[in-house]
Amino acid sequence: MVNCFLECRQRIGGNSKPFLLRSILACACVVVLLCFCKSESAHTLPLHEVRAIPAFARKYGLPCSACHTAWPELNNFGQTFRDDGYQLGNDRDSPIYQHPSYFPITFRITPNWHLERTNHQPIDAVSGDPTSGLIDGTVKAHGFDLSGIDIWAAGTLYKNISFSVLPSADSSGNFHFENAFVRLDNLVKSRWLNVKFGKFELDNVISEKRFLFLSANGGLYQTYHFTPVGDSNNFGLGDNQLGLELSGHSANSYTRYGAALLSSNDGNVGLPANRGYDTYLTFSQAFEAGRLGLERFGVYAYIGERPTFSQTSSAIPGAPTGGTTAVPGTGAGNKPFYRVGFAGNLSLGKFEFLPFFVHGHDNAFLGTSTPANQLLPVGASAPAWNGGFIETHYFVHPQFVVTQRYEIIRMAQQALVTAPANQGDITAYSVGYRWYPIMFSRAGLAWHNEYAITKTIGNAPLSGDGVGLTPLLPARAVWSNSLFFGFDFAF
Amino acid sequence: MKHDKTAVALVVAMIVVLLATGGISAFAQESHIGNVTGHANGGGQLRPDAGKQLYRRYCIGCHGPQGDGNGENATWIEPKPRDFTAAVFKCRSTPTGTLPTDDDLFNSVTRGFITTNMPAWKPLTNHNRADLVAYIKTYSARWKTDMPVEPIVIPPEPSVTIEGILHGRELYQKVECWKCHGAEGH
Ligand code: HEC
Ligand code: HEC
Repeated sequence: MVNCFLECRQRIGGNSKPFLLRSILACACVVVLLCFCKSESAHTLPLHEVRAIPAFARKYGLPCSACHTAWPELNNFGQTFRDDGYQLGNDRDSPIYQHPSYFPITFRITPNWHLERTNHQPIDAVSGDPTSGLIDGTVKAHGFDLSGIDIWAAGTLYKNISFSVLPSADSSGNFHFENAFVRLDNLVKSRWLNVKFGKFELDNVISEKRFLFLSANGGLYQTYHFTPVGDSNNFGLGDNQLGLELSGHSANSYTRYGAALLSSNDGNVGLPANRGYDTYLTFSQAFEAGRLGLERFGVYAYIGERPTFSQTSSAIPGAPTGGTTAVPGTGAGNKPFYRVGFAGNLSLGKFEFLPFFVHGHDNAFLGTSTPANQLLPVGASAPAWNGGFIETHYFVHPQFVVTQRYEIIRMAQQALVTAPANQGDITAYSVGYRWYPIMFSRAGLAWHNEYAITKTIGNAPLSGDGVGLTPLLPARAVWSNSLFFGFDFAF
Repeated sequence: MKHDKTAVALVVAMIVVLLATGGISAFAQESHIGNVTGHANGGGQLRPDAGKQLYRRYCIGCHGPQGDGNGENATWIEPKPRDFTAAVFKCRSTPTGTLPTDDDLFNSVTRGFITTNMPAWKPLTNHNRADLVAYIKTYSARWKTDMPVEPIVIPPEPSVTIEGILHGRELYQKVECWKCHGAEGH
């Protein structure tokens, strides 16, 4: 083991000259940038959930690039490996074939420097004086920072029994379980029948868990987390959910389907909401386009419900006076919502295009945060919206990728008649690159640089930047910018 | 509700289109390897550069940057990755001592080698695998100097006769199958 480590180090060291030079240059850039900015207020980077598993690379002796177009994004070989239950099918899958000291664990963290700037924020009229009233101002912050950390174990418990456990911490070290599941693979010897049980990502053509953006404003798909202003629905298409998934795929994963039954808790543990269940369906088909590569199209639909009120403990004798504490798990007055749309993953030689579309619809009770046992506000309707993005990757070579994304969300119907028609609308743009100075089967390192800008009408940006409050005027456009430099590494 | 109906119609329409394109693509998947003629050596319609990039992405860790089977993982792997500079291959439809056909290599890459570290590269497109075959052939001059060979024609299975079985027993002794399978065949 030690030998292997040393050897890798030597190899890396052996041809590290250009790498060193470029790193020094890159650091110099950061320093120069620093000189141009002046510090104003503190800010914490939201935790970005992105994944890549060198533990698999070590197990099979494959470079990261075998499974990832640019890690953490999967290519079709990686997708098939995942669909097969983290198995290559070459009799090296079951842990009993592994060296006893092999342990399938991966750490990933990104030390970084970033800048966040958000305008039209309600801040003190006299800086630092809470009694001075609120005015409209800009909040800017920058500095060296940490991302959260992923400590991921995944692999096989035995042939055709796979697992994943992902304790994940935010940058201050608060842990939660991002995912944890067992998957029974190839039931009745058919790759069309696999059952996953636990907390997992909703399967779709475009994964937010394995995408190539890290900055506060760019490091999330707006469409995967959007809810209209004033809506009580906590659902996010990008949030890992708790439930049971039946899925299947063809031998090369060109055809894939998934059907899942999920608790109506948005993946939150401890049965906090109610006893409701949601459904998620997905299907995709890829076909070969000669030299251009592989083209995949998919559709998906999430049909769910959320409680609008809970039993409270106020009526219980001895409960704190005036208590309206919701009793966990007793949510009632369920109201429906859905998200439907399509996604694609299209190759054009060294270019890759990821188009995505969503149509969202929430019940009027959810949209206006009204308990179902009360009357809706006058003129209330079910909020609806359309959103989408087009993301582009240009793979200069397996160790360098340039990325960009343009994303929009437009409200089609507001819940309240009083709301401006465009309140909640989002326009977002991100551009960046990732450079992988090394590409081995032991560990991964990427230099990540990204700029992202979002415009949110009458609402706090989804990144949480700024003061996290709605602007003083509901029709006001809040602009938020992120600039990000960091070393993203996993081993 | 109007919204729901439109959404359902949209999803159904998409699925129909997808199934249709999926069906067509099954026929359209011609194997590009047909164009990778025996000793093409990356010239002609082949794209050695495409193959090179793919090799670097997928194969280099085992088969090595020089194609000699000395990738960073070779030390830890048994059996060892194939050395492409020797141009000696295990799975051939051609006579002993000759080069395999492009189809042989293409099939080996597609199927992988069970009980070894060589994965099945089926998830790569046909085009990618053909480019890879073209590229690994650039590692040995034998692909330029040796004459292309026709695959061995496997005759239909002979009918079972007493003479045939006796002849088999003779061969069993002669080519020493018994060394492994035992004199009694177990
Ligand atoms: C994880 C290690 C590994 C990787 C990665 C790998 N191979 Fe192999 N490959 C092997 C091993 C080991 C063998 C030898 C198998 C045996 O002897 O049974 C082999 C054998 C081969 C052969 C020989 C077939 C024959 O008939 O002798 C070819 C061709 C080949 N690999 C092509 C590729 C190509 C193309 C790639 C990249 C797409 C690749 N390999 C990636 C490990 C690997
Ligand atoms: C060097 C040892 C060795 C020699 C010599 C050998 N075999 Fe085998 N043979 C094996 C092994 C080992 C297997 C089992 C392979 C496996 O299961 O993967 C096998 C399998 C077979 C099988 C397949 C049995 C099945 O279950 O499908 C047949 C048939 C066979 N051998 C016939 C022959 C004949 C005929 C000869 C002589 C021309 C021969 N073998 C020479 C080692 C040998």
